[in-house]
Amino acid sequence: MKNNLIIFKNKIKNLFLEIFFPEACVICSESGNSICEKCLLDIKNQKSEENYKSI
Amino acid sequence: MSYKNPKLKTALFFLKYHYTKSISKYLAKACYQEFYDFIKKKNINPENLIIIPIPISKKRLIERNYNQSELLAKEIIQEIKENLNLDLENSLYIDLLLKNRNTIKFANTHSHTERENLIKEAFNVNPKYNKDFLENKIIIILDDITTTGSTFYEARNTLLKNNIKKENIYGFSIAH
Repeated sequence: MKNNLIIFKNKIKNLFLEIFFPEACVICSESGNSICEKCLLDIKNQKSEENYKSI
Repeated sequence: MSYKNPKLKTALFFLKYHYTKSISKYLAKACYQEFYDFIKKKNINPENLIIIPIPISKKRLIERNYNQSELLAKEIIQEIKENLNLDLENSLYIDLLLKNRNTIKFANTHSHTERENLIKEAFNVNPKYNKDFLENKIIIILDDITTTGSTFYEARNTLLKNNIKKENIYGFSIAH
């Protein structure tokens, strides 16, 4: 019961965010995608030393 | 991609804590090629490949409504399918690794030892996948962020107990 209430609350929250805060870049606020092309390119180009390794 | 990049930090923060699920699609666009290159470089047969997104606890799943690593894995697979014509959908096993307890948010912890202790024995292999099934499989564990590597290390330890060879387990993270 408690879990259902939390799920319901989260769904309402998601719906609220979608309606009142339509997608804009979360980084530079430019309207369009949640990450604009410029920011995505910047993220993509700054590589870490290794993205995968044997563990 | 580098976690030192504040833009990536912001993007992952929104994905994890602000319900901005669509971010996973864009992050996948930025890293699917590397994931694909790795599979090719290691000459992995997709039929033997198992991709496991790091699971989150039931409590966190209820709070968040989704597992961000699972979203990222699905989007990466989708991008590879669309752009590189390789279908890995059957390689995704979202329920192979289970998180058996809730741990506090890693962002609230600092030291490597503290993180290691928190995550210790937090994973189980789902009993529906027996050891014979897992034998000779190549596993890629996928997570959104790795800093100290404690989560990967613990997931690896859990898999090692289930007939998987150490050299067949890899970790792939979006940010490091």
